[in-house]
This record gives sequence, C-alpha cells and structure tokens, in this order.
Amino acid sequence: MEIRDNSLSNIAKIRWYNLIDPVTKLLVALFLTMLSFVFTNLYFEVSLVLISFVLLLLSRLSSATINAVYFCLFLIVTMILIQGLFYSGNVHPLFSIMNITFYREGALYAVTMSARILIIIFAIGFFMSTTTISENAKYLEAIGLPYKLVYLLMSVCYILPQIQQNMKKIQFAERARGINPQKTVAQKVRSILPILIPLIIKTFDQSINRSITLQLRGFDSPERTLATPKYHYVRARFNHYLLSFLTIFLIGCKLWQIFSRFL
Amino acid sequence: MANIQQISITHLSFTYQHDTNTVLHDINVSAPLNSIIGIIGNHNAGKTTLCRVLAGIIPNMMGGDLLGDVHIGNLSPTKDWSVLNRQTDFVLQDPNSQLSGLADTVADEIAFDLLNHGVDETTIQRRVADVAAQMQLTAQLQQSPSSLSGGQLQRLAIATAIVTKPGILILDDPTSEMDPQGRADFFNWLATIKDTTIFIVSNEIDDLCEIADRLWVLVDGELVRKGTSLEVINQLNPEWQIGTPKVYQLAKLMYWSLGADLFPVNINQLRGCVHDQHSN
Amino acid sequence: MTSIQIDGLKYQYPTSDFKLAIDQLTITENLVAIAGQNGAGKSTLFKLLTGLVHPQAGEIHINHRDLASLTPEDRLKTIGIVFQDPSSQLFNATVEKEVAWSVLQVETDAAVVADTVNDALATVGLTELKDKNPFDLSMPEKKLLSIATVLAVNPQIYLFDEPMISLDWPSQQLVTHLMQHLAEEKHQVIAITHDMNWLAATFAKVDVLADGQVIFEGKPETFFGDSALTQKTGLMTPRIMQIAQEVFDDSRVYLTPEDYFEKHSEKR
Repeated sequence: MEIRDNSLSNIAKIRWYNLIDPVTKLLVALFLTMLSFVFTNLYFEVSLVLISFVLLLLSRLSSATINAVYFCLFLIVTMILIQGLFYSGNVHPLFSIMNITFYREGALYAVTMSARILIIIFAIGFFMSTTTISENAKYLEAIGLPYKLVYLLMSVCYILPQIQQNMKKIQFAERARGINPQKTVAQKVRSILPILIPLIIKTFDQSINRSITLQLRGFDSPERTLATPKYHYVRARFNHYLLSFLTIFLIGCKLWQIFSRFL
Repeated sequence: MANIQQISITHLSFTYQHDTNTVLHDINVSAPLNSIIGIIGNHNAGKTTLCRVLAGIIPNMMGGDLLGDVHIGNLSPTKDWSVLNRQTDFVLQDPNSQLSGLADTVADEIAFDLLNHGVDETTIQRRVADVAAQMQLTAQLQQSPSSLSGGQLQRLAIATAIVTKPGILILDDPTSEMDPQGRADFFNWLATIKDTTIFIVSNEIDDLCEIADRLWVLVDGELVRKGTSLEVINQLNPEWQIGTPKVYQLAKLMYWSLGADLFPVNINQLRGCVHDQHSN
Repeated sequence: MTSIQIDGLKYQYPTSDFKLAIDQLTITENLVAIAGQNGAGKSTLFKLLTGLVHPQAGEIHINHRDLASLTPEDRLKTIGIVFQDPSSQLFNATVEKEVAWSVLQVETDAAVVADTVNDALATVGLTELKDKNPFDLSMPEKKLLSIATVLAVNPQIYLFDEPMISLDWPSQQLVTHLMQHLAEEKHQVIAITHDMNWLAATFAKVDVLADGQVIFEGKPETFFGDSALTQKTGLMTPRIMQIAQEVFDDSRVYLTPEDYFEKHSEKR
C-alpha cells in the first residue's frame, strides 16, 4: 500500500476543481474582480456576483467562507443604509419613512460596491476552499519557484489560520475564566480588543519557532527532491497566459478610464 | 585538538542578545560519542539553551554572546553547522513548533526531512512506514497532523526527527504530554538505539537513571555534577531541589547500599545489591 | 462541606463516537483524584463540571444546587479549573494583569483587586515576575500563573487537569502542598492525573474512568491491589510496586517507598 498518496489512484474522489491548478484559480479571482471594476453596469455586476456565487456553491463550502460571507453581508447592509441616507450625490428620493428619506443614488452606489465585495469574497472563497496550503506549495515548487520563496509565501498564508486558532483558544479560556457571555457582536469585540497584542506576540513567536525548525529539518538543502503536484492539471499553462493577458487588458482599460477623465 | 570519539565542551558561556543574565556559566564537560546523556535541572537552569548550542541554533539562528568551544566528534556546531545539521535532529519542547505546517497528512509530515535530503521515493515509503510503526502512529498516517492529541503529536515530532537516522539526537523534554504507558514505551525504545549520540532533557528521573550513560546536572546555568547516574544521584545537594528516583529512595530507607554509602539508582543495581546482601 | 452529585449524565461530542455516561457519582471528599487512560472521558467530565459544555441528559448538583441554574458569577465562585496546557489559559499582557483579569470578574473594588492579586502571586512565588509577559515565562512558571488566576477567585471547588505535567520537582512540591492546604481549608480539590506515583502518595480517594464510565471509586490501595482492574483500565501501578515486582517478585500493594519501608520494618 502506498503510504503517501502521491498517485492519483489513491485519492478517493477527484472533483472538477482539482483539475484546475491553484495559480489559475487565483487568476480567475483576479480576472472577475477586474471585470467588476471596469464595467459598472448594475446588471453586469449582478451577473458576475451570480457567476462567482455558483463557483463557490460548486466547490466544497467551508465554515470559514460562510462566516466571511456573513460578516460581509453585515457590512453591506450598513453600507447601503448609510450611503442611501448620506451619499453626497443623493438627489432622487427612493422612499421615505417618518421624515427620513432614502435616496436612489446612494443606494445604487452602495449596491455596486457591495457587488464588488461579494465577487472578491466569493472568488477568493472558491480558491481557499478548493486548495489546501500543501497543494499550493507543491504546485508552486513544481512550476519552478525556489522552495525558500514558496515557504515564505505559504507562511504568510499560514498566519491567518494560526491567528484564528490562537483566538479560539483564548476565547475558550475567557469563557472558562470569565462571566462575559460573549453573545452579541459588541460583547465579542470588547472581549477581543485587550488580547490583540498578546495574540500577535504569540503568533509571531510560533512563526519564529517554525522557521527555526524548518532550517533544522533542512528545508533549504540543495538536494531537496522537487515536489510533484498532487493532481494532473488541465491546460495550466494556457490558462495562465490567457487569464494573465485578459486581466492585464482589463487593468489597462481601467487605467484608461481613470486617465481619460483628466484629458 | 578535538578528539573524534568525544563530545567535549570547554569554557562554554552564553548570554542571549538584549539580555544581561548569563544563561550558561563556564561549562566544561566531555563524554564519549554514541552514549545517552541525560540533562537534568529545574526550570531556567539553562537546559533548553544548552540543547540549542549543541544543535547549533545558537549562534546560527539565535544571537548572543557565546564564549568557549563545543565539539561533537570532529564537528563543531559553531563552525561546521551545515555539516553537523545534516547529521543532527532536534525534538523541540513544544511539538507544535516541530511541524512543517506544509503537510496534509502525518505521512507527509514524516517524509518532509527525507524529501529535503533528496531520498528516493521507495526508501521514503519504507522509512516512513518503519518509523510510524516504531512510534505507534501507523493508524494515524493518513490523518491531518492537527487532529492528533498532545501525546500523539509528541510521538510525531520524534518520528520526524528519527526518520533520517541521525547520528546525533537532541530531545528537549520529549515525553511531557505522553501517558505513562507511552512514556515507558518511548524510554524502552530509546535504550535500544545504537550508534547514536543522544542528549535528552527530561524530568523523568526514574526513566533517565534506567537508560542514561551519563547525567549532567544544571543549576542556574552551571554544570554542578556530571558522571554516571549512580555517581550523580548519590552526590546531589539538597539545595538544588532535584528529585531522586524511587529505587534510590527505597534503597536509602531500607539501607540497601552498594558499599561506601553509595545507593543503587536503577533496578539492575538494586537487584545486584539485594542479591549481594542476601548472599552475605 | 462541599458535595458534587451527578445523576444520569450523558454527553456525546457532535463530531466523534465518544460517549460519556455516568449513572451516579457523588464526590464529597476534599481531595480526590480522577484517573483513566487517554480518551476515557476525564477532561470531558471537567468541562461538564465547569459548565463549559452542557450535558445532553442528566443533572449535576453542587451543594444541592443545579449547576445549570447558577449565574455565571456564582459559577466562577463555585468552581474553578486549571487547564493541562497553561498556554491555553493565559491571554493578558503581563503576569499581574493576567491575575487581575480573573479577579475583576467577581470584584470591582480596586484596592481589594490589588491585594488579591498580590496574595495570589505570592502564594505561587511569582511576585518578582509580575511585570513580565506570560509568554516569556518558563513552562512551570506558566503553570503556576494559571493556578494563581484561579486562586485569586478562590472558588469552593478547584479542578486541576494534570497539574504535575510540565512542572519541575520544586514546583511539583509547591503545588502538592498548595492542594493539600486548600483541601484542609474546606475547599474541594479534584485532580485528573496520569502520574500514579503522585496519585498514590497524595490522594486517599480515586475515581477511575474507562470508556466514558466510572468503573472504580475508592482508595488507591484497593484499586492497585486489584490487578485485573488496573489492567482493564490500562493504568500502570506506582513505580514502587513495579520495583517490588521486578526485584523481589512481590506483588503486594505499596504506595510509596516510605509505605514499603513501614510495611517491612513492622515485620522485623
């Protein structure tokens, strides 16, 4: 029996998203984001939101993504409210309740912004929930990035889950030692604020220890066997060129839009 | 001139950067290669720092004021670090810090060092299977390292270290989170290892006296005793507040001595001593 | 006199097959050890006792009051826990603030808080380190600090999860004396432990768990004397019994070297 599942036959089930390499996924996320910034038509934005949402639904949804989406929805509702009431370009009233008027321009502006936020969250969520850190690392190493650089990139990715994990521990300790029920958002925020610095110190300390271990374990040794990617990816190179070209083109369009205003 | 069959430490002193306390004071000691050396002492005595010097973490990755000389065989952790590091493995006090963080499974985590050393895949498969069986992790090979319990994590940390068959193994309190059975298994296994120089920091004085060839006692950064466990335990100063093995406590109470006020510290010695007393 | 009464308790983790089921368990002694292999349910029992998780069925009464009906403040004053891993109990910027955080949960008077913090730190011998960051402490110091945070609240019942782990010899002595002192002062002290030498030397009452059930309640002597039972629970006997067995082929019960000495000097 193979102990390390490098061969495809040992992977229980290959989903469609396993056939797309991590870099392509990231480029897709970038491409969708740029699209939403270049074209401001509301219907177009909404269809982009739908496309990225479908991508997310087709992947394996993780609780972290769902939490992130919930948090964004909360932000979006506040943004729509505030912009609808106070946006500087507000002219046409949409409706009013008890002398408080809600305007069309502000609401539209906020909806466009929200669509962009959602597209970014959905597309990144798709990337995060379909690739593990090790899959990323293996792929980047296989396409020729030096391992030291790969590790540097990955340790940046690693910091967020690490902070999250430390945070969970601390919140558990607060529950065990304290009377704060931490039920409302305000209570949660208040319980987090004083522990931020210890949290960062702790995470930083762990990163230093990890980098020492990796040196001891010889990760930068010249004889290192290059990792083989976990899956066979379809048309990886072609996808990279196509998506990079399209994204650069869109960035160009956006820059032109900005500059043409001053001409 | 370094003796190639010796571990020798001469006039070793160390102070961490941005700190005024000297952590290690003028340590002088030598021991034969391929022996098991138990390092004992209370917290802040300098045990972890000494391990770091032996592994070359100090001064290669952590800075400070290092004086004196350390030789393990013909290599020096200060001068030939990269050569030494290839033959040395270190198990850190906190097993979490030992993990690469880049492996999805226990098997990949164990294979990490072998990949780094450019070992071929067939050998990797075999070594990983062997070491996992040794550390009782076979059932966990396909699990994520983050799903392991504290004791299992410590066994994984040890597995990642021994998989490369290092000539020098440095273990900083490797059994603190294991249950008694796991700890007993570990020490029994450690006693069977050959051709390896092992430095082990531990509070398990009973187990150390059973397996260690030498004990070094650190008190406030000074090496106050060195020698066989029999010599060291019989010469402990009560002021150092170091625990003694149960065999020794029992022998002292019952006055089963090996002569010259020397009391046994492990089961073999006790057996010999009681046997002698009966035959007299 | 404190009493813990558990009836028909059932708890199952949502993500695993493990089940804790305790029909009836009464703890009235002041110094009690809980033993059992990994996964026997010891830590789960502690989490249930502190109200950190809630049972799916059954009741826990402390001094005849239902644990579920206690207010958070009452709960803190009734029962406090010291975790196995001190790092998961500490989250403040300095040693002093760490202890003060706990006191502030139940006390508002600044002068009282300061006194309580000083006393608690003095008891565990950490007064000189009060301005240090808890993460810079050594493992034994962290453990002592986590004990100080509970001492400062001074609950009726103290729960210690593996208190001897990661302590060196002098701090083991300190913590053992502290626990004995608390028990004498009419607190109830319950400790989970794997350390059979310490258990045998320190406790007169032990509850043993296996597979989520209580399978023994009574004196350590009785437990270690029943070799079928010790084997069934996967626990080891104290080192002194192993020595007696290996060297003298003597399988009687001894708790400590002193115990062996006494039992053998009587016969002389």
